[in-house]
Amino acid sequence: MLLQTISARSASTSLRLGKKVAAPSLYAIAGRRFYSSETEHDVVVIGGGPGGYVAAIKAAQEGLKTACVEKRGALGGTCLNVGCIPSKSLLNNSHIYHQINHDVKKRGIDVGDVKLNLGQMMKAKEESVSGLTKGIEFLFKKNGVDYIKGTGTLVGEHEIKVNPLEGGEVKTLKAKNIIIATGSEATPFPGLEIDEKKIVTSTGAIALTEVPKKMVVIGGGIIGLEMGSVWSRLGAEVTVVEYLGAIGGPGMDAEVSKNIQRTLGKQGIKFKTGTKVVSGSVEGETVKINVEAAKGGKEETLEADVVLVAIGRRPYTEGLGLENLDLETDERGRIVIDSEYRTKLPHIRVIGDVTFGAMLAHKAEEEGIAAVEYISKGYGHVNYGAIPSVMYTHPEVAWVGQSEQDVKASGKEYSVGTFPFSANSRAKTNLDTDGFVKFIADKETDRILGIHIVGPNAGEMIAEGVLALEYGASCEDIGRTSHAHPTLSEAFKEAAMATYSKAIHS
Amino acid sequence: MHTTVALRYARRAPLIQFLGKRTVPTGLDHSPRPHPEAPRASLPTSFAQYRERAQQHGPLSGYHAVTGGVAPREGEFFDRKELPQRFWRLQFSQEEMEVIESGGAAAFA
Repeated sequence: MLLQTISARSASTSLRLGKKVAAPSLYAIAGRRFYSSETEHDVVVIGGGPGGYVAAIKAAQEGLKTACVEKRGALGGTCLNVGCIPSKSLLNNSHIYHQINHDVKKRGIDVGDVKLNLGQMMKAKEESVSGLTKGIEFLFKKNGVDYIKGTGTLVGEHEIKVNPLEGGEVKTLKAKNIIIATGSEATPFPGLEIDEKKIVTSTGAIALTEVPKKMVVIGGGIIGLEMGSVWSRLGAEVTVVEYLGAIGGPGMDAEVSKNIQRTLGKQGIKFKTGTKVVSGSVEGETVKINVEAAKGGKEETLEADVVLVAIGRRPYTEGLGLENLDLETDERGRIVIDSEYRTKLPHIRVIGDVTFGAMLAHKAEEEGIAAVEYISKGYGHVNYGAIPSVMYTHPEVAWVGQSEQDVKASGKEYSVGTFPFSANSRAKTNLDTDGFVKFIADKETDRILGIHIVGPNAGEMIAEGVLALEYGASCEDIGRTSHAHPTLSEAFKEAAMATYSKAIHS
Repeated sequence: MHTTVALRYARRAPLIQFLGKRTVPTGLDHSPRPHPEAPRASLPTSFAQYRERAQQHGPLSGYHAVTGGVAPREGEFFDRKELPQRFWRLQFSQEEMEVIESGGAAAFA
């Protein structure tokens, strides 16, 4: 009798209700507690930087109930709060200061006593930042994104525990889809303790309270050169120490790298390439950095008031709870994903600095859009061969596609065409003629393989190159397209002409 | 004369051409493939293992996650506990468990 009862219980695996019971979908199996709650979302984005907030807005625009969890207390991530945006404010204003001091006299402008008001310059920077972060909050409201200030931790396949920033009750969000966009942080230099006062990352370098007399920049990549430029223009004696033989970091064309190093050198920045930092210490008000040739050699000590550590960035996953779901990272700490941004759990996607690819805000934005489109439409698109890079020094450096050294290494036959800004009418009238435009194209088909610009307005001009590369254009397509006169963009056209034929003005 | 005519018709065809309005491609293969920027040409085995395990509970949803409200629709339930109590699994007592494990013999011990 008892056994009969047990048997009947065992057989009762289906629910005889006369009502339909949902088939166990993947998410129902993975997390069975999807009962009604006001915190259920179609998409929860963890991280409100350029990748995360763009993904959140796009998801809301696609009609998905979306939340974005951000622990900083302000949207925009590193880029907007302590990266691209504040550094551009300082780069722009320090450039104006430098021009007034060193450049305007030859333009027929005599100025009196010029003084730096660093406090006001920092205030202008902060106003730019706060205006833009509030702008994103407005966009969240406009599009119906739930903005949750707190630290998001993955606690289940569909559950995110949020520890509120301003205290209060810990809450759990439930989501069908999760997008991780937690970004990156500055890589520390072993043996140098970052205090953001004397030994600083880019975060400290945009917030110094006085102009250092001497500054050493460890790392001659884009961040190091931009921040080195700011403080050099404001009066610091800047020395850049770079382990590799050239500045600019990966992707920069060797010819461009040499050109910009020469130009920045003329502006007063000193370079020690092929040099490694051995050790460093703080002695009173001075930081001592011991360096030697990368291949070995005599040690030398550099002294500085401030040392900027700019050797790169690493993925940021602290407190994210990857271990709770056993999500893999590679040897560099990047979360492993497939070509549709999915982790091994298909409903958890990852974009931006915390996963593969260049650590660039605009790359993260593209991925944010694509990840959401994979969720809503099943198809997304990012062309990793056409992601531009820009260095906002003066002159600016910008490129897209392959460098000449990359193309040479591939063994492909190629053509190169260049055009100097010194032969461009607008650059001449602007008295701003450093640099050139360089095209690299397939020798047989004339299809553009890479475009490299060092010169005024390079960061804006490269957009045309990105479009051309994305569309699979030839140099002749550019050369036969009318460019307004007199503009800097004529240099772009003429470099294209020089690649498949001849430039007119050089 | 012939050359002029030939040149007149030999128009340059730009590589950039209008391809028509963009459409979402159909019939795409959504099986996991390595990310184009990944350093390795293969995915960890966990990707396939998860899918294999998940498939045991029913097919994975097509190419993208199901969207819409997370709550079950009217008349649908994700968990037995959401139903009236009479449909819940009955709790086995320790005594019943022993009976099951002993093939019924424990009831006569």
